[in-house]
Amino acid sequence: MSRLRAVALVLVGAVLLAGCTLVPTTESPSRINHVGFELLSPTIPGTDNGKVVFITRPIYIVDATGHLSPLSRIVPSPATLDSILGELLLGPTSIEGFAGYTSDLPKGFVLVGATLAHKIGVVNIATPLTSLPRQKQILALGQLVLTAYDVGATAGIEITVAGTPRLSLLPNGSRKLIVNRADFASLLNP
Amino acid sequence: MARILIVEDDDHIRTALRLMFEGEGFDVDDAATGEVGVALFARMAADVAIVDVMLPGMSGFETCQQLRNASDLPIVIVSARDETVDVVLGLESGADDYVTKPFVPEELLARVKAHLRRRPDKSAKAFKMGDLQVIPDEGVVRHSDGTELHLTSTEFRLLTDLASMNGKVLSREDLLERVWGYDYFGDSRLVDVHIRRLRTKIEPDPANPTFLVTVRGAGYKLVL
Amino acid sequence: MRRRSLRLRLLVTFGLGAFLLSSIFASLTYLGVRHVLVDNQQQTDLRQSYENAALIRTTLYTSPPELPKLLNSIQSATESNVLVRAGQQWLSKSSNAATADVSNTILASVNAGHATDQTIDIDNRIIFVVGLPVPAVDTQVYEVFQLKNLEHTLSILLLYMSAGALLTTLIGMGGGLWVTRRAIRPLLEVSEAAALIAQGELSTRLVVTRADEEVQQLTESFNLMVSRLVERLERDARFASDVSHELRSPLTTLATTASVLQQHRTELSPAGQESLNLLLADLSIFQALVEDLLEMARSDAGAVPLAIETVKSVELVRQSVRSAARRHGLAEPPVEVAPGTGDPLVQVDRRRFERVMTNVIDNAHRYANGAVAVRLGLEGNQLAINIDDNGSGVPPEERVQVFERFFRGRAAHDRGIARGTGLGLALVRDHVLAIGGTIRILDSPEGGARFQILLPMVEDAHP
Repeated sequence: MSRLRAVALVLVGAVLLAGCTLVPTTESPSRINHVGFELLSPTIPGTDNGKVVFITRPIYIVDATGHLSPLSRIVPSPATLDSILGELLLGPTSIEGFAGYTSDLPKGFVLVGATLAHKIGVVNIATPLTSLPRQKQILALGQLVLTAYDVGATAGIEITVAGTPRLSLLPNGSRKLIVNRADFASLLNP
Repeated sequence: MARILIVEDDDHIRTALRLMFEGEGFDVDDAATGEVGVALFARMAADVAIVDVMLPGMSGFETCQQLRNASDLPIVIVSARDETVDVVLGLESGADDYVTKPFVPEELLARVKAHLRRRPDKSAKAFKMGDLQVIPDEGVVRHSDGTELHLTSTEFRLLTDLASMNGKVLSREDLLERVWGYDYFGDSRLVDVHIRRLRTKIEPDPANPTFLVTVRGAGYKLVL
Repeated sequence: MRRRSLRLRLLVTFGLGAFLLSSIFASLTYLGVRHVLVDNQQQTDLRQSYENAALIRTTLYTSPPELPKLLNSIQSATESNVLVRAGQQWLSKSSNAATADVSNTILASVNAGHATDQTIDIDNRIIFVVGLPVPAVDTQVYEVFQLKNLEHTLSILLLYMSAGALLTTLIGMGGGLWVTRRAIRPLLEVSEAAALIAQGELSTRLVVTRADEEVQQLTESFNLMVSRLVERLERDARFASDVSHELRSPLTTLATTASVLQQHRTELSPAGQESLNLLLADLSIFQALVEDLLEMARSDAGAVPLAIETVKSVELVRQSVRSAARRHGLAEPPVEVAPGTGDPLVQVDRRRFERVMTNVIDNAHRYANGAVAVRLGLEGNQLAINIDDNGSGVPPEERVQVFERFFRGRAAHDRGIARGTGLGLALVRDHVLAIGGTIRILDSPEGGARFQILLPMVEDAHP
């Protein structure tokens, strides 16, 4: 057996062994032919042509200058007060945070429920806003009002704490039961 | 005129030998068998004998022994073989010399003549060897108790020659020359076998000789 | 062509063969098993992703705010990360999910409405990404599966397969070693036996052990061959010996009768006398030849054992030279001992040594005006005995051949008379070798040939 052939055979063997990588990866993605649960169906199976469509709605956040600024969020349509306020409570994303956006609604802020009736949003919360410092209170309120406005609470919102309506503090110092957009327009970022 | 006995079974060789020795002035008795040879010797003793080893009937060795028992004459054994064992056997049987066939006839002739010339040296002084008394002018070796040891003339000559050296070493070649009278066609085995036979006769312990001593690489010497 | 060790080649072949076979087997097995394992894992993961996507669909339909909680519970339950995308924005994701795991190509494919999957290597993490469009809820669900466990399993499998291949290779080599030894041993035995026989141990035979049929055949054939050879050798030796033996008696008669004729020479006519001269001359050659032949035959057959004695070399040489010269009626060359040689002891068979000296001096007489001197000296740790002549020397190309039987060299052709038997120097060489010495031809100081015999010297144990 010549030296050359021997070396060649050893190499072949080695290559064979080396070709055994672990999990094989692919260059490009491949399509799945058969998807279960009728996931590709345009409507939700088992419902009467039910479907969900997402729309974009603004939430209002405190920007770097201390004004209220809108950021867009996706919510299922129709947009309910519940879902948009839920997004509001999640606060800015980390990227938005880097850009200087904050939310004055505290972390532990609990929204019990929010309903819309006669264009007035009733926002039921667990703890009163009065626990916040004055300025933050106003900004937080502003965030709620402006965000609610864009989903139909055009006449304003009423804050209830555990179901009991409370007076809300306005930027001008007065208190009202139902606060609306116009009251907080001064806080908007021009 | 010297008388020679030739015992040889091969007719041609025997005839040729007879012619040769007669041509040299010998009286020749020739026999084809050992028995006839011994009978011839009994009738008229020869001075020297040539005996072939391979004989029908009584072997050459046996013939040699019988002749030796009867006389002191020099006997030359002739054989087709050159094995040392045959040489030893021949000399043990009493022969004085050993010649192999084919031989150079002149050599055989010369040897026979040399054996005839050789006589014991009577002028040597007597000496003692243990409890043996060696008396050259009488040609005898006597025990302290009076019994005589029988040595052939060759053996006697060997002993006296070594004794005359006063303990000096004689090589085999020297011994061949002095005792056998050869200076160029000697076979040193002759010496070795004769020494061995001498030892069995005179040494108290022949295996560990005290008188006839071998000197390695040189020859033999007699220690008194 | 370089000679290779058969043993080595067999071993290498076995080793490589075992390696190759076991590698192929291990690879195929591994690849096969991997395929199955990967496939199974994928199917399982895909099913899981369908279930999760369906759950997400339902949640988005019934209670969208629950989505983040759902995603995190999926993650904690299955260790896979889930991401939900609506339009061009990420809607939500489980806490450990990284959007970078989902490549743009997957995004594009899923956006186009195709359920897509891909196994990717990101920073040495292998992940299986599944992207499912859920048009009913206007979202795309992406699930990222960590394949660590699968990797782990496969690496163990690979390890075992490799170890297995290695072990098989070693066993293969071991097997090769065993087979080789079994196969080669008879060959080695034969070669050893042959060497012994060449050295002269003619009684050597191969022993039949519990062997295979072919080896048995080899053994029997070999033994038969040796026996026949030995028989032939013995026959040949006996022949020469027998012939010479038979010639003894007639030769004796011839010689003796020739001597008788010589005694009666004067009675012959001149023609008769001249014839007698020729007869005598050739007779002596004939005799010498028979003697030499006989000695040669005996030596060949190892019939005559050596009678080795330890003797002093100087005296030995002197006596041999003297005997040799006188035996042939030649002038005796002087024996010179070089100073410093001393008188070392050598071990020789006397008769054979004398024969050697005789033949060399005789040779010098025949072909070179006789020997000028015999010189003793030391050559290294050996004794050198140099027989020098002043003849025309021996040509270098003949210096080995002259010791061959019946070789006639240039010198022989030059001189028409006094031819030897042709065996003289052959006997010399045989005898010299038998006593453990060597002989060679050099140039003598006088311009002729120097026959140099080298003998090992012995220590004097009994000074």
